[in-house]
Amino acid sequence: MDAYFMHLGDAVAGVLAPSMLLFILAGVIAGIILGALPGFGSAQSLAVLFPLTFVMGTEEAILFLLAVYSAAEYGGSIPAILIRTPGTPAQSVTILDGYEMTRKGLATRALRISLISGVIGGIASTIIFFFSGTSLALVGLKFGPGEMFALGVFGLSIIGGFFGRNVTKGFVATGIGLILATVGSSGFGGVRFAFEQPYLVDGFPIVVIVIGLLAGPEAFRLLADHRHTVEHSELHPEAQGEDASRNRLTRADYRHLLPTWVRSTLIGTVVGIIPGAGGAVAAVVGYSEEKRWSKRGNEFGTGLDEALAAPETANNAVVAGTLVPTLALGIPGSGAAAILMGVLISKGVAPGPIMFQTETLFILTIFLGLIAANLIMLVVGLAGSRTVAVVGRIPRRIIGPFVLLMLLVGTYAYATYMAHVVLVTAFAAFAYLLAKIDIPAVPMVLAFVMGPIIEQNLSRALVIHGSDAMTVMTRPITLTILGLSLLTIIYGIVRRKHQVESEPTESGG
Amino acid sequence: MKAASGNVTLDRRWVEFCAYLVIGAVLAFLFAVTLNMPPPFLPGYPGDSFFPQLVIGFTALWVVIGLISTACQLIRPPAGEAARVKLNVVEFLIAGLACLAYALLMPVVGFEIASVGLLGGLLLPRLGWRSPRSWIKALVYSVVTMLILYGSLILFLGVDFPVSLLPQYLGQ
Repeated sequence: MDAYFMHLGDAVAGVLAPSMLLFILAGVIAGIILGALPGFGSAQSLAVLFPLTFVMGTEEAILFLLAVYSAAEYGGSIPAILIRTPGTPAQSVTILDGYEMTRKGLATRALRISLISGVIGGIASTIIFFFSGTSLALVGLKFGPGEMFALGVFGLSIIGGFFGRNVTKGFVATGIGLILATVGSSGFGGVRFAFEQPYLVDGFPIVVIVIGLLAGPEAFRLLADHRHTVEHSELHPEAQGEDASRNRLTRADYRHLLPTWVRSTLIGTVVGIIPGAGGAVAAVVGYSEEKRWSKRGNEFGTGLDEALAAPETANNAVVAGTLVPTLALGIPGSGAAAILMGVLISKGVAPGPIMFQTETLFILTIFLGLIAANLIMLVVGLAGSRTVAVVGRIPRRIIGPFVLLMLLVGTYAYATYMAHVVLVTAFAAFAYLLAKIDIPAVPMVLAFVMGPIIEQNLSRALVIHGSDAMTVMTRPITLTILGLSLLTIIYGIVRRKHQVESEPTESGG
Repeated sequence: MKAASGNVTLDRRWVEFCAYLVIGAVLAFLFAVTLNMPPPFLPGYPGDSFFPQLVIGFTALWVVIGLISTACQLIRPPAGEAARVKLNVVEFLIAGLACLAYALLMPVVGFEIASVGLLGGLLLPRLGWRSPRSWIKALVYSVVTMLILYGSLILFLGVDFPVSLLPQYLGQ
């Protein structure tokens, strides 16, 4: 730690240099814009901007990409909140309460909560990463296939929180998501359910699933259900505009959200450390835990501040968490981390435990640069939130065509493969029709994310332990997480039973 | 405002029952496919068919529960407005066909024409066919949106879209 303090002055000077701040600002703006485009998650955003780093120095390149990574997670929240279209898979749960807040005329408030939560998650997890990088990385190393399988099961157990009132429909949706995840390569040399179609051999891309099942039905809903909708603000132009007082965050609001931020930061940081988990898992776990702890858990989905803050904090906290195995062990835990590692290696920097001893100035620069990126994102985001929130006031019948075009273009931009556009159309129509009978799409998407984690890790664990399932299941961390999963399911069932008995009937899904 | 034509109202119980039947049929088909999957070749590996069969069985269980539940509801009288499903079939089909047309025509006519056509074609009825201002608005909105997407995705990010008109004007 003394070595870090010795280099503190140099690191601060380096990060605050005008050229460095400019790179970070450019990264933040690029990240917000790219993250807001459906089909451009953080990994795609980094991949697209990666060539720009060839002309940058090592620190500039890394901080530019980290700024992009952090900002893309927030950028994906903007369409999720304003038009119920997640920009990245991590915003699959943001739409639940974020969009409800927009419908209530609280779009600016929602964007601000998302932004502030993301910045807090990003900064706090950066501090955690700095002080415990190597130790946390060793914890992440203990997660083998058995433990990852258990984590996937835990993820499935909390999907029940997104079922609405009808458990049967929720489980059917979960099953559909798991089946969709089995299409394509099995991971062990086999190909399933491809029916000799080349575009199915690799399975459905997550982007196609997220856009097709979450954003696509919303486009169909805007076009079909709101074809003739005249908004209240069109009939009463004098009432147009949001109520500024309701959109302002007060000190009481900050105090109210503080426990949420603490919990979700820890969740996001821990999930980020685990290779392969990612922002979507962090957001789901963060949302679910917040729902469990909140006194208003049964109101989640109606536009609550904490229901939005939790996933937004968690998915931004993942950024620093992802750096832990990447820098401390040289193991990239996600596509985005792999690109960051690629930049380091191309610049001659070798990630690993020694790095924390030999490259103290560099580590300190990354730490301070991440904090600077989050602060710059706060300024840029706050400056733009009221302007961007105007999108939420566009009449739904008018915005529908724009949303549809954006989805189709974003899907095509992902891999320039027209088959994906056709798939998104098919999934969107399918999910729209299922939503008519209250079969929810969110469990489908979440199950699609968890399915491969469960199957491939279980298969690997069984191969390693010679089909001995008991040995796999009784490893300490695996057993603990499976036990937590069981408790979560029982708790969910008991809690829902109480809710159903005490609440009036409402439509589910 | 005039009510939309093409609206269909259906009994929710029957729609749910049919939906569960269709899902069940698809599950049965997929299960039959898994029976022809190759056996495991790796010691310890349960095989390509293991997990799909597990998941299909899990889903089928809930589909059967759903079928029984909706069958029981069919015996009882319908419960008012909540027992109805409304669907604007015409607009739903237009949205779907517009997407497919965009996917099929973009490689032929180019990104520019396809995007302006899609956006303008969907905006115009929503802004009002009869007003000349609506025609101008629809055209301006669609062209401006197309230019923004062209500039950001194709020029700045270098995404490879099939283009036809603009490169000639931009000297590319």
